[in-house]
Amino acid sequence: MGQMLRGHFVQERQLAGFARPLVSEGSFLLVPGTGLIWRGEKPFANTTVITDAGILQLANGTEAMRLPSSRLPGLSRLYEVLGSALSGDVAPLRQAFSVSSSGQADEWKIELTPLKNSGVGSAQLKSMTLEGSRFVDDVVIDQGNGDVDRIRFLDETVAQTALAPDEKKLLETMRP
Amino acid sequence: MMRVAQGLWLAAVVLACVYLAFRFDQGISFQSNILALLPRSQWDLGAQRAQDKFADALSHRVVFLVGDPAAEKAEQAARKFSRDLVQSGLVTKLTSKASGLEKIGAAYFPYRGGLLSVADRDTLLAGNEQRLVDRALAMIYAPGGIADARLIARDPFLLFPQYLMSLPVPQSRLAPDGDLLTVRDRGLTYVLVSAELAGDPYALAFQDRFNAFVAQDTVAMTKDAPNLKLLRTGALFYAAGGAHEAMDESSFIGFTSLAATLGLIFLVFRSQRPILLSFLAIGIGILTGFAGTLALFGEIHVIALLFGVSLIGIATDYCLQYFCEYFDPEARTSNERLARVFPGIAVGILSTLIGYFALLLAPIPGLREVAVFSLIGLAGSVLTVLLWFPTLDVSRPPVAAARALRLAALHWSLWESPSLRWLRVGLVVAAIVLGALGFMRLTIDDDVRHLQSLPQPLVAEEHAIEKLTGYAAGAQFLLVRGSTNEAVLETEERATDRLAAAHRDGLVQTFTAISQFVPSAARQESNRTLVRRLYPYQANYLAQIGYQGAPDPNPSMRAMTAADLPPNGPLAVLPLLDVSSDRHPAHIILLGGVTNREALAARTADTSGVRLISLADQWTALFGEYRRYAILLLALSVLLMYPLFVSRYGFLRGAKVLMPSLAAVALTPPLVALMGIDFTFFSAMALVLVLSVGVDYAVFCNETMGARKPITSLAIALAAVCTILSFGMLAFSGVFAVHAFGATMFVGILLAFLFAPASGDGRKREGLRA
Repeated sequence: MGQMLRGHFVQERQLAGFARPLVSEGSFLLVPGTGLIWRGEKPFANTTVITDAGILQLANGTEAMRLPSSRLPGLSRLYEVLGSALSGDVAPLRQAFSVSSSGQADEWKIELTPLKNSGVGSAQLKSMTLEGSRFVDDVVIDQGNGDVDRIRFLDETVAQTALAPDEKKLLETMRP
Repeated sequence: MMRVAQGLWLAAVVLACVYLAFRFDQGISFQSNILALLPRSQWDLGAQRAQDKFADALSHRVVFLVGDPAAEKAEQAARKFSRDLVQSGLVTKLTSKASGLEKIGAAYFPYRGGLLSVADRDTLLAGNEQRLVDRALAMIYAPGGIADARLIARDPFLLFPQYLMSLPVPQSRLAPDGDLLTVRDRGLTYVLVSAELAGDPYALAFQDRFNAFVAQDTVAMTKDAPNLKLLRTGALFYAAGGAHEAMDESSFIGFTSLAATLGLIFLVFRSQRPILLSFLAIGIGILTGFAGTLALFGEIHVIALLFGVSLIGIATDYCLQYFCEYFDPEARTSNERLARVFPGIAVGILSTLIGYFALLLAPIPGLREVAVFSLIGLAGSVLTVLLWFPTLDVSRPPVAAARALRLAALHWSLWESPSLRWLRVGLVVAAIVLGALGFMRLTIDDDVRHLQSLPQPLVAEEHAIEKLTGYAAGAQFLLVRGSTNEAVLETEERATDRLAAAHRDGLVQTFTAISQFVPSAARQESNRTLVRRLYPYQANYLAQIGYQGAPDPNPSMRAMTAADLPPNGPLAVLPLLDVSSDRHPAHIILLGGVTNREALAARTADTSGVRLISLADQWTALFGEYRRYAILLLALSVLLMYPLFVSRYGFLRGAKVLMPSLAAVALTPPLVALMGIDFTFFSAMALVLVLSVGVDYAVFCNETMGARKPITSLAIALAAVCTILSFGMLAFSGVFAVHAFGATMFVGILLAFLFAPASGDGRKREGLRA
C-alpha cells in the first residue's frame, strides 16, 4: 500500500501506578515512506511528527521536543514499526519481529514479538497486537513493564486529496 | 709534548667509540618531534604546561575507520582489529566504545536535581514554567512516549530526559550501533576504532612497531573482507612519515656529499691517502659529535643528525688546506706542511667555533643540540688534522697540478690585477643591482604551514575522517584557567555562553567543554533553585494525569563532579580536556570550524582566565621570533669574531677580513628571493653558517702569500665545491624549510668564495708587522 491514510484515533495509555488510563483523541495522517503526523485534540492539543529523521513534538503550537534519530537509533526502528503497523504491511516487520497471524482476510489478527537481537530492545516493547478488517482497527502495545497502550482507529480512509502545506512543512521540519 | 697530545686524543676517541657502542646496545632513541626543537614559552609557564599536556594527550590518540560495503563485514573486522590492538600491548585502552544513553543516564541520574538543559534553564529563568508543564503532558500522552510511572515518581516534569538529550555529541556524525560507533557514506559502512597509544608516538622504534602491526593486521582483515578500506589519522603517522623522510634524505645527502667529496679529492690529488685521512678526520668528527650530543642531551633529534651529517662539507675545508701543501715544493715533510697551514686553520677554526657558540646562546633547545653536535664534531675533526695527520702522512706522494694551480691563480688575479679592474667593478655592480632587484622581491614568510610539507595521502585521510565522523582535530581551542576546579568550571560556563552567541553569529561551528557535561557546583545549585518554581504546578499536573501515590524526587544534594561519570561514549573526550597539573587547574574547550579567529578572540577576550590559542599561528609567531633571533646571533657572531681578528690583523685589516662574508650575507637573501624563495628562520640559520665558512676563506687568504697563494686559493676552491655539493644537495629536499636552507647555503658559499681574495693576502699583514 503506498497511499496516504487519514483517520481518527482514541488512545488509552495505562501506565503502571496510575489510577486510570490516560485517554487522548485526535486525528492522524500516515504518508508511507515519509512519516506520521499524530494530532491529539483531546484533552489538549498537541502534535507529534515521526519520520525517519526523528521525533518532533509540538504543544500549544510551540516546539516542545525535538529528538533526532541519531541520538536514539532505536527511533528509526520505531518509525518503521509504527508505519508498517498502520499501513498493514507486515513484511518489513519480519526482520525485527516474529510474526504470528490468525483469522481471515477481512477479520485478521497479527501478533508481533521482538526478536532477540533486533535492536528494538525488549526493554521497550514486549509485544504488539494488531487487529483489523480492511484497515487496522485496533493496536495493543504491551511495553512489558506494566504499561499498556491501546489505540483504536476510526474512520480510516485512503486520502484522496494531496497534503496540505502545513502538513508538508511538519514532515520536513526534522530534515537536516 | 706532541706525543702526549696525540696519546690523549687517541684515548678520547676510543672513549667516544666505547660510549657509542654502549648506547647503541641499550637502544638509542631518536627524537623526531619538531615541537621538541621549539623554545618553551617563557612568559607564561602555566599556559605552556597546560598546552604541552594537551598536545601530549592528543598526540597519543590514534583513530581508524574500518569500512566495507557490507556492514557485518566492517563490524567483524573492526572488532577483530580492536581485540588485536589491545592484545598487542601497543595501546593502553580503546576509546571507541559506544555507550548508549542508558549507561550514561544511570551515572547522571542520582544528581538530576541539579541538572537542567540550557533551554529548560532559560525557560525557567524567563518565568515560563507553564511551558514545561505543557511539554511534560505532551510527552506523557504522545505515542511511543518515554514516560513511565517510575520516572514520573522521581522526575515529575521529565526534566532529566531533556537534559540527557541536550548533551553535545563530539563525534556528531557517528551513530551507536550496539557497542560500536558507525557511519554510512556512499555505500560503505565505516566503524570507528580509536585508542590511546602505550608508547611515545615520536620515538622511531615505537612508530615502526606500530606501523608493522597495522600492516600485518590489515592483511589478516582483508583476507576475510577483500573490499575493506582502512582510514587512519594520528600524530604518530605524520611523525613517522616526517622522520623517515628526514632519515632518507640525510642518508641520501650524506652519501652523495661523501661520494662527491671523496671523488673530487681523488681527482685532484690522484692518491688514496688524502681520501683515507680526510675520511678519518670527518668520521672522527661525526663520531665525537654524536657521542658528545648523546652524553649531554640523552637523546638526539633527527634534525640535529641531518645538520651533523652535512658537517662533512665544512670539516673538509681544513683537510684540504693541509693536503694542498702537496703542491708546494718547499714543504717536504708533513710537519712542515702542517706548520704552514697551522695559523690559517687555527684562526679559522677559532672563528667558526665562536660562530657556533653564538648558537648555544639561543633559547631554542633544537639549536643548542645542533650547536653542540657541530662544536664537538668540528673540534674533533680539527684535532685529528692537527695531531694525527703529521704522524700518519709521512712521505709526500708526487703530485703535479700545474694546470689547477694556474687556474687557481686566476682567482687572485681577479682581485689584484690592474687589467681586470673592469671585471671587478662589473662584478660588484652586477651583484649590487641584482641585490637591489631581489631586495624588492624579498618577503619574509614565517608561516609554519608553508615550512612543513605533510605527506598528501595522510592529509587526505585525515580530512576524510573529519568529514565522516564530524570530529575536529583540535588545532584551535580555548585555554581556561582558575584557582580551583570549581572556578575553572564557572569561567568555562561564562565562556560557553559567549561561544553559543558566537555560534549563532557563524563564527564557530562546534565547541566541546567539560562544563557542558559537568556543570559547576554553582550552576547545579542554581538549577535546584529554579526547579522549585515548578512545585506550585505539581499537584494539578499529577491530578490531571491521574497519578496515584506521592512523588518521591529525593535526588542527591551533593554537586556532581567529573569523577562521578564513566569515561564512555561522548564522555570519553573529558579526560583529554582536563589539562590540570597539581595546584594549577586548567581546562581546554575544543573548537571546531572557526571561521574568524580574530573576531572570536575579541569575543572571549574580556573573560579573564580564558585565552584563545591557535597552534599554527603560535608556531608561526615563534618562527618569526626566532628568525629575528638568528639574525641577532649573526650580528653577535661578527662582534665576537672581530676582537680575534684585531689581535692578529689590526683594526682595519681585521675588518677587511670580515668583508667577503658580510657581503655574502647581505647579498644572499635578495638573490635567493629572485629564485622565488622567501626568507625564513631556516634561511637565517644558513646565513650563520655562510658567515663562518666565508670568514674561514678570508682568513686562509690572509695567512698566505707569494708563491703559496695559488695553493691556498685552490684549496679554497675545492672546499667551496665540496661545501656546495653537500649543502647544495639540501636544496633538493622536499621539505620547504630544508630546501630554503640549501638554496641559501648554495648562493652564500658561492659569493663568499668569489669575494674571499678581495680581503687581501698575508704579505700586507707581514708588512704591517715589519
